[in-house]
Amino acid sequence: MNKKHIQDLLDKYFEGETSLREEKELRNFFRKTALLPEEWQSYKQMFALFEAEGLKTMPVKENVKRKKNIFWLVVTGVSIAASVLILLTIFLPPTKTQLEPLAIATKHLDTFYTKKDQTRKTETAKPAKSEPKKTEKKTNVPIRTILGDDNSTILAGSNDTKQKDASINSTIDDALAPLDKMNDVRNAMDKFKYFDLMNKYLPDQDISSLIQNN
Amino acid sequence: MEIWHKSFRDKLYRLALRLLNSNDEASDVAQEVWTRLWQKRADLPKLNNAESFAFTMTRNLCLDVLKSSRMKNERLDAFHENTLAGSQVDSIEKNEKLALIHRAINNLPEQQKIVMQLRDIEGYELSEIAQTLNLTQNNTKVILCRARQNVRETILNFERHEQETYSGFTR
Repeated sequence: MNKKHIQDLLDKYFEGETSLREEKELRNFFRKTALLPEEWQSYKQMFALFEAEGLKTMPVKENVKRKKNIFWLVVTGVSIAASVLILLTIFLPPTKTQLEPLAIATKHLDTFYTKKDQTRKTETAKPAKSEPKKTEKKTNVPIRTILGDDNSTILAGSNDTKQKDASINSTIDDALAPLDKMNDVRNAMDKFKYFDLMNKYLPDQDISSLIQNN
Repeated sequence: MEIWHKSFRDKLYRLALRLLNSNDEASDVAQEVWTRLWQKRADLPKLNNAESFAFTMTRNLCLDVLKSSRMKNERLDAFHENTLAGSQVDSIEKNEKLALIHRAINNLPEQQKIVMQLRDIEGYELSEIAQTLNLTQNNTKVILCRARQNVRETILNFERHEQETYSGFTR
């Protein structure tokens, strides 16, 4: 492509005689050629401007709205997700792993209470046969000790109470054995923050009253 | 049909933008032309050139907009030519000569603007442009020739002025 050819094309162009193909040729030449004579520099920019103007697209008005919509959608979505998460953590039943210490605790408590029941049964079953005796003793023992008239009955009574004490002590030991474990469980449960559940299953009163009863 | 393609609506928009110098107004016009075409879609096959018809519609709507804005405020036109054209140029490039060429095109008479837009920017044949403007092909060529020479004149004047000021500095 020599300079004369381009000059001819330019002359034709400004007379309005060029075809679309020739105009495209001019445009390509000015786009691709970096070093141009001084008088053609402006034409390079003119053709570049034509091309740039032809690339303008209609701004979509909905675009702005859509962007806003997307923003608010994200915000509402995140807030809804957060609130759902909060509600779930509050109201959803705890998971298996979270309930593990509780399960251990109830297991210990079960053994604890069954032992307690057994001791009660043995307590209630044994005196049931000799209930009249027991009541006699209970009423009589202090009187006899005070009076000190019947040694045999005192001995028999002391024997009986010794035996009874031994059996009760053993049952108390049995009953208190899980308490150490229960303390461990309680410590474990402190970490899991299920205070209400813990209080339900490990009531201090019950244990103290149990010990008092025994 | 090609006229339903988005790129054609952009062509309508660009023509409206050339005549109105306002993004919002040009978008409104292009949208309006598009909806009117859609309403008349049953009749479109009867036309021998739907694109020319669409351009004619765009031009007429733009002239209506310009007329009503002139009625409202005579200064609005000057405002369009100076402020808005300038701001548009800024968005293209901060190039003095490019801005000058841009302003030269925008300051052309309406018909020359339309012909130059459709020929040099959109690349339509003279016969199609003639149909749009309801002119003969020869008339259209004359208008195109004048438009191009006007732009060249502006560039040459600017360069002459630039040289004078430069030589003035050297003295």
